[in-house]
Amino acid sequence: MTVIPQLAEEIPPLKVATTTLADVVRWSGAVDDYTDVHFDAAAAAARGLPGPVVNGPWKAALLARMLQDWAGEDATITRLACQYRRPDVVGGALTCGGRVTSVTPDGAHLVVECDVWVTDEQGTKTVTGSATVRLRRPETKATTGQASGALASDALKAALRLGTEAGRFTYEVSARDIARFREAIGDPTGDPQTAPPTYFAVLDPVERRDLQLEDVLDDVPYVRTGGGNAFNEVEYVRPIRAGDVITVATTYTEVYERDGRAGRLLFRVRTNELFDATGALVARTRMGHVLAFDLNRTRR
Amino acid sequence: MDELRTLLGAVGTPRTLTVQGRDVQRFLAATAAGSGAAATRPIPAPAAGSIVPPTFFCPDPLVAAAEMGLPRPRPLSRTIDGGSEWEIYRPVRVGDTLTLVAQIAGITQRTTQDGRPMVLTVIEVRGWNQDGFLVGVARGTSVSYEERAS
Repeated sequence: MTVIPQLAEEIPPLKVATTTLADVVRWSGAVDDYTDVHFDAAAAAARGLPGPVVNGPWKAALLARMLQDWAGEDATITRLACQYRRPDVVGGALTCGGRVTSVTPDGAHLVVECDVWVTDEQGTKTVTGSATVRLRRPETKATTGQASGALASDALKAALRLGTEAGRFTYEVSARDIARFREAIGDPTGDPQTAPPTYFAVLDPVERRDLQLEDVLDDVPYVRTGGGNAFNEVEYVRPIRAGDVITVATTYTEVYERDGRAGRLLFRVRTNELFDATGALVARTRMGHVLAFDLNRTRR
Repeated sequence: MDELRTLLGAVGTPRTLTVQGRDVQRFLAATAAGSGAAATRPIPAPAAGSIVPPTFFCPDPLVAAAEMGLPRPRPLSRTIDGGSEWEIYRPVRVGDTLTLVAQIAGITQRTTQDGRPMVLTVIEVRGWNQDGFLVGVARGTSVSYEERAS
């Protein structure tokens, strides 16, 4: 897709002129579903159906394909919900359709909400649902930078919202959490009410995958050859104690690249600010992570 | 209903699989353009690293859960697939190794518009990739209801 979706825009329909048993067989083979009502007329009749019916998730997969055909290969369908309202008997026609219901900017992306449906040849909706499609805003696409081998492009920095808060997540710290952490670091007899200094770096919502802020890195077309934690720095204000409710706000502060033994290295540095339930600063951490890429090999 | 509720939270046997280009090819063929949904031209197997279609990681959550040994309650005379939902958090690529875990996430009692009993069971399948990332969640809603008296 080269243009931005518009509110109320109709998604070009995907039509199946006549569903066939071959369609059902292909789907059955693809997903290992051999439920007889989908291909056996007697089994369908025993369930009060006029004939074998196509699979609901097949219709959902057609809707997903319609959305992908419309939004383009670079778009990500992040949600699809379907209610199978009526059976579609094999031999009928199907039309998949959809309409844009909202378009919302989200950092380097646009979040496009859609209503979707499948109608039969009478125009009756047999499937209704909704979907979310995530598109890169055209102006943030890393076309020139990554084509020339640059990893830390301006587009990537924009996508990571360099310099502005990228997200926050809240943790309740229990004595059990602290005890388990002490056990893991070989200090099982330490005070279970007070977290050891290294615990501060553990409260990182990106490393813990509570916030998924780095999906933009999936756009990097090169083969990954390594990666991991580069450094953690902690500036303490007060200890973390059992019962604390800690909110971590994370902000990307640096994105840069350099050569390394494993390939071209892409560094992302974030500052996490840890606040307690009163809003008082508990600590500030600086987290550095690195990914290595082979710029001579592309993934797709 | 109390007996059914004991199933809430039940977890199937986790399943680990490697995403093969041949399997993705079959999926693409099953949803390709043409007469009906049949392919009008050959569909090559996607190369390693290619992103797979969004519902591929768990195309039918009810079927996947059954394969993982999770019981699908059928408390009333007829049970159908009432709907599916997918949330996709990370792209899945050919060559990824996925671990799927199925769980009975909800059991609720309802009535049909004409007053017959109905039970909705939501089965949730979560998928993680080889890096430990949650790639997506698929939910299937199994609808069990009492047929009309003939």
